[in-house]
Amino acid sequence: MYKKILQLFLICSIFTGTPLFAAGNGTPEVDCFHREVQYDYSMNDSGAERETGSDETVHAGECINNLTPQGGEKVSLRKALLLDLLVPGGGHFYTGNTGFGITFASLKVIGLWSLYYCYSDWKYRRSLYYSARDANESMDPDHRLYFEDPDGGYKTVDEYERDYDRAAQRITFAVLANVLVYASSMIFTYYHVVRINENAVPTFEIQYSCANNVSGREVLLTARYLYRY
Amino acid sequence: MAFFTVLVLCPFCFCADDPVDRDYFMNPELVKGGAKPAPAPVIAALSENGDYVVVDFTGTATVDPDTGLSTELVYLFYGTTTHPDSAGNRADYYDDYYRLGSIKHSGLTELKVAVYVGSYTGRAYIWMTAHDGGRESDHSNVMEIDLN
Repeated sequence: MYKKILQLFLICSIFTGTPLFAAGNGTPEVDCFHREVQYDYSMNDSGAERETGSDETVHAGECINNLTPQGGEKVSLRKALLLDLLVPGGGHFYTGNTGFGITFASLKVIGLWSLYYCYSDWKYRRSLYYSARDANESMDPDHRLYFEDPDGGYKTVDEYERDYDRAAQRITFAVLANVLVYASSMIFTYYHVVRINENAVPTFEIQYSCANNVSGREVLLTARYLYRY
Repeated sequence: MAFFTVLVLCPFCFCADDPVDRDYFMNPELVKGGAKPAPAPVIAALSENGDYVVVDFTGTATVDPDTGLSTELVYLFYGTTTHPDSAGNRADYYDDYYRLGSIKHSGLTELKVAVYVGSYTGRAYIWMTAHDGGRESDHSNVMEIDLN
């Protein structure tokens, strides 16, 4: 709402001849209004810069139309997301966010390793459970036998089955954690790419300033508005 | 760079064990107690003595096959008011719920034990097993007694 009002104000200012300060991105045909005014930028007694003028309101403006364009190069969103998906931290390194890249690369490597570890552990626990179950059934089906656990101690078939279930749960958690890390990484990558591409859009910076210099008093009004198009 | 090297090497330092073969536990050495005590105990007679039932298992010759001795055995006594076969579950013979008590072989002077049954009156079914600290033998014969 305020942007619209300010935009209208600026457009009106242009058409009514109100002095403006316009900085362009290299487009030489930028319309601007220019009025020469007398300024005295001599230093006063206290060392501060002093501006002198008559008792009338003065409008100052200057047209600068040879500035280089603001903003950087655009980056490909698809490429960034693909890199982020395939290479740990790739999307962040591609967009120049080294800190995010290292963080997410670490998280992804640890996440993938934990997934592999949980899967291997699940296979191991499953083999122990199946082996214990078959042995108990074969050797003495009427009794709960205690089998020597490779990690130490003895366990029944029920306990091996519990370990097997827990290993399956750990896989589930590992998958969820990896999905969370990958999703977060892609969201951050998307956000960074959007921000980079926004800054890469050619912009015009329009600034309005008006100094009302009255003897003995000074009123300075400055309105600054950035409009990209 | 060093950080990533450590990160990549970590998985090789902390890897899970390889799965075991299907017959891995078919080895009696991996079973607590090794071979189970055998032969099964034998109850020769039951008699009532107040709130106790005297179990005479004189004919029992159960030993632990791993040592060839019976000195480390513990005898477990079970009892129910219905025949354990009636439920059709063989595991009932070894269920803790029916256990009346236990005694070490080394504490016996003769193979005769008085088992407390309280003020119960009626028919009772008694049987026993031997345990070597890891495995339990097959159950003995089931004997019945009418308690007054």
